[in-house]
Amino acid sequence: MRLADLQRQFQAAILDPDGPGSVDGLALAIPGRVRVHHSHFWTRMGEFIGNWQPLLARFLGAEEMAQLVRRYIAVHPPGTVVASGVCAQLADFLRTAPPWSAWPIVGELAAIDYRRALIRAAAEEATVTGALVAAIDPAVIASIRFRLKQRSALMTSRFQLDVSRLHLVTRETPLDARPVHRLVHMTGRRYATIELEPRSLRAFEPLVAGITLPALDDHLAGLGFDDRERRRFVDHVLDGDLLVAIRD
Amino acid sequence: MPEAADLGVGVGLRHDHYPEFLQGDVAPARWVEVNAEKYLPERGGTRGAHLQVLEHVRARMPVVLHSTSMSLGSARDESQGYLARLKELCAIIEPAMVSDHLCWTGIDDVHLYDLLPLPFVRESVDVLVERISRAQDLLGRRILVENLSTYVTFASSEMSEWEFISEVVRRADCYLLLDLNNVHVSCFNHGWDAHAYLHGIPHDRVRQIHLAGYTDRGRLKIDTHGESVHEPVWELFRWYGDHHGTINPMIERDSDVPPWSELADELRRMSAIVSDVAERRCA
Repeated sequence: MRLADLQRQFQAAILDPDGPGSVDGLALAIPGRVRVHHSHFWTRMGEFIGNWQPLLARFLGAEEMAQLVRRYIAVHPPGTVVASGVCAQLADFLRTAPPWSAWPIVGELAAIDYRRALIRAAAEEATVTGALVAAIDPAVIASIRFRLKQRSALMTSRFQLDVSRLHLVTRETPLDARPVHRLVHMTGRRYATIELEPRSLRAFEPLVAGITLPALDDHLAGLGFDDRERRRFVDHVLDGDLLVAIRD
Repeated sequence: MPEAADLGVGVGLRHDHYPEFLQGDVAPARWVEVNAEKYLPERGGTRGAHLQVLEHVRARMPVVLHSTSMSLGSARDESQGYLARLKELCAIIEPAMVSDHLCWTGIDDVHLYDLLPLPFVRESVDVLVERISRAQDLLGRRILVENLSTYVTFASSEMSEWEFISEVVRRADCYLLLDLNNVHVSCFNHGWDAHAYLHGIPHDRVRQIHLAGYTDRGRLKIDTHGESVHEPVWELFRWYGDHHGTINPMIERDSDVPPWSELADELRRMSAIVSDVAERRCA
């Protein structure tokens, strides 16, 4: 048997969610031992997904979470070397795969949960303040690009998640009528959430990749921010533990 | 073969012990090994939290990068993207050594997060040699390849595992990371003689030694890295040292990680054996 064919059959045996698949034809000395690899793989998948989706795991409970892991991985076997990537398609899976597709809140929760986990896993960075910026030559500041810190994310969702009230959410909880935009970030070990109007969301968007303060000012003016609003926006982000300077 | 740099006694760095490695006294550990995948730079070169810590540790001592994702034995080479990111990490950390395993981890763009066994046949040798050579070219250095703990063997195998390792390592012109825990586990699981195994490997290629703890399930031993090093593995380490020397030994502990003081005790035991062996070999 060619190595590629052997590996494909061995892999299929491991990926079988209902127990080790057939290893007939692989001429294993003790075929039952493929169970060691099967068990190792599914245990790791449960750990990875549980770690990156802790709120979803709490919401669904252990038994249903285990069922979800088997169904999800059967359709989306992992292809990344980094564990965080295993969950990348889970929210979309929940939105389309029965029975969970019948309860839109579940997919929405998974999407928020995963983004929060990515924020939590990101590196802490030293953020800039208005005082620091004011102390530097304006000509120098004008050439520096600033971006939102890694431990932050702009999120749009139709579910106003309050983690302290997760126990009150049921799978029949309807989604909000309109999407809500938020900037979620971590300060130390705590999450902070800033609700954004659509115009404010668009104001923040270029800060994801990075932008100079003069270019940001132009961008805000283009969105209809008047002088006072532009100053207030910049002051808010500079003093909100949100921005880092980009080292090019 | 170039002489191996003697780094002394090392340990696998775990986040549980970050405070000690950033600020404390971590003797007798003189270097660390890390799981490379955990420290890869993000897209665009951003350094994640773990990499930032590793840079600080690197300022204090040598670092060895231990990879699990090259999938050197996969019949399809799908590792180019990963190797490029590993090369970026090497440029940042300047590791003393880079290693992976004589295994495959998936095929057709699937990654199974496990070190999977190969039949000891000509095709496996050819695949490994080609892939190791390509990895070494891309990384610009010789890599170490590690022997696995295995639970299954293939009736199609044409040679012993130690013959297989010897042929791969010599043809690929790479180094060997000798995992003595894995030798013990595999020999127990398959009824092989550990001393025969160790006699059969290319000792001039060994550049690092792993010790770790397995879990005894009665008829099978499982390589969990979740327990202290067991006595049979300590005995193998002493035996191998007496016959062939000890080079860059370290302890791996991946789960149920104990407080640093407990791990340091194991490292002191390792250091004592290294000193004993060195004295006897000089005598």
